[in-house]
Amino acid sequence: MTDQSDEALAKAVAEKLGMVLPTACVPGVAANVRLLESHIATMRKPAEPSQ
Amino acid sequence: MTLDFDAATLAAQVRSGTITAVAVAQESLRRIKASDSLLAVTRCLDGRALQEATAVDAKIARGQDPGPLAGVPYAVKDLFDVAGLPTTAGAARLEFADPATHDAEAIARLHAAGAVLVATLNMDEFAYGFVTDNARWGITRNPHDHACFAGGSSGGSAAAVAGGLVSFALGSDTNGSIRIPASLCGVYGIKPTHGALPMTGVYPFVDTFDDIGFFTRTAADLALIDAVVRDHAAPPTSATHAALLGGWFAQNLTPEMQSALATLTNALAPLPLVEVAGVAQARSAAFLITAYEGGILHAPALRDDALSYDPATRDRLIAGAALPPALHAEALAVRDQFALQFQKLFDRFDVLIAPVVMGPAPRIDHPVVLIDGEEKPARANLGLMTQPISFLGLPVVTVPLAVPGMPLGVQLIGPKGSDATLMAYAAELERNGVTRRTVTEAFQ
Repeated sequence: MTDQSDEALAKAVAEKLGMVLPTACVPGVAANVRLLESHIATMRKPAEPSQ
Repeated sequence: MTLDFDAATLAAQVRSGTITAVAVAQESLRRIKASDSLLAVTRCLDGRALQEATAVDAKIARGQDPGPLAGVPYAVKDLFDVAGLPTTAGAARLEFADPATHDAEAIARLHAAGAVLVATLNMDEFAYGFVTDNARWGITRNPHDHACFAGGSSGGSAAAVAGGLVSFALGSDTNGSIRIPASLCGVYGIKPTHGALPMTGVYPFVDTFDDIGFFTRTAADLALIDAVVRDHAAPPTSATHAALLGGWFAQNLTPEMQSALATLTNALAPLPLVEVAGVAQARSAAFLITAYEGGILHAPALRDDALSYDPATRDRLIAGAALPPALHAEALAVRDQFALQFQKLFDRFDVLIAPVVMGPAPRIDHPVVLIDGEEKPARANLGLMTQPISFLGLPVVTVPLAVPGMPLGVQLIGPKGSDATLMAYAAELERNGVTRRTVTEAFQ
């Protein structure tokens, strides 16, 4: 998902929320979608052992 | 006027008639007006402050008990309802909203105890940030170096206390928003056990994590304020076994913080080093829960008028609102597993100690922190070491370490319900000289 263009990511978000996304929001929303994707990946990684 | 603004000292002076509450309020208001450049205060409440102070003095004149916080000046993060004023939550879009009809419950309790409300304070918009970089009210400056951030999102609260403008300040902490500015500004702060302090009349952000708390100049003042704001405080027990969290909490530290922790370890020896697994996963889960719940809360307003938000807040909220509910449930399940490790640690230790942030306050002209050798935005990443703790709803007292230079703080973390014990432990560290408020050149 994160290799999609800013416009494609923002469009997918707008459709999920049922909102018209102003053009000014597109780069920031896309950047945040990518950031959240990275946190999803981290959350799902196996935990390192504690000492 | 040379006046010690420690809450206990001021209250004793007012109660004994050594000084009037009106004189204290006037001094606080004068200091606020002389400190415009901090950008800590959003509204100065001269009329209300003088009215409350006059009422305290009248009670004393009549021989009535004015309350344990008689005449003590304080201020609140601008997400607490103040009767007659719009609650902005740091958002320009709410600057002219309908005024609150009642004070927040915490303010009502402080009023009844004789405290005097003098101002509302700057914050990150809707509390979504760690630096107090506000599009409408500006960037709150660190009283110790105006070129540096005060931290956030309760940056105005920390700066007002550290700068000597007020005796204490209310703030809120969802992912670190009390602990981080307390650390960067060199004052004491408490994030209570989740749900322990009254949330009525507080603008929400993330229900799963939101708590109110407060900033003070001394550890002793923490218990004084807490006794007023809290419903039922458990008596403190003696904290005898402390440990230092390593692993995740020992990584990415600046040389200043490494040195400060080494000094702390010597002072508290023996201070065993312990680790927990899965902190990165926990922090990311907290990040996702925050994005989801914050996004859902704001989704209707964003659909209606997205451009009325600060772009840095808006785009985070929009992206978060689009996360699926199942992911929220998955993140909560991660929390349950993560909590088990802390339960085991608390079988052995009363207090776990960890840095609040990696080092001193970042500079405003270089707003980044180093994580694994890469520069990351401070606004979103200063909570690296606070998010995994509030994720669990644990109480935390932040104490300023007795270090030269810019302030550094550590978290004193305990099991749920141990708030009083943590405050007592902080007071003990203060008495032993391990912690102390970082003094500014302005109003000491």
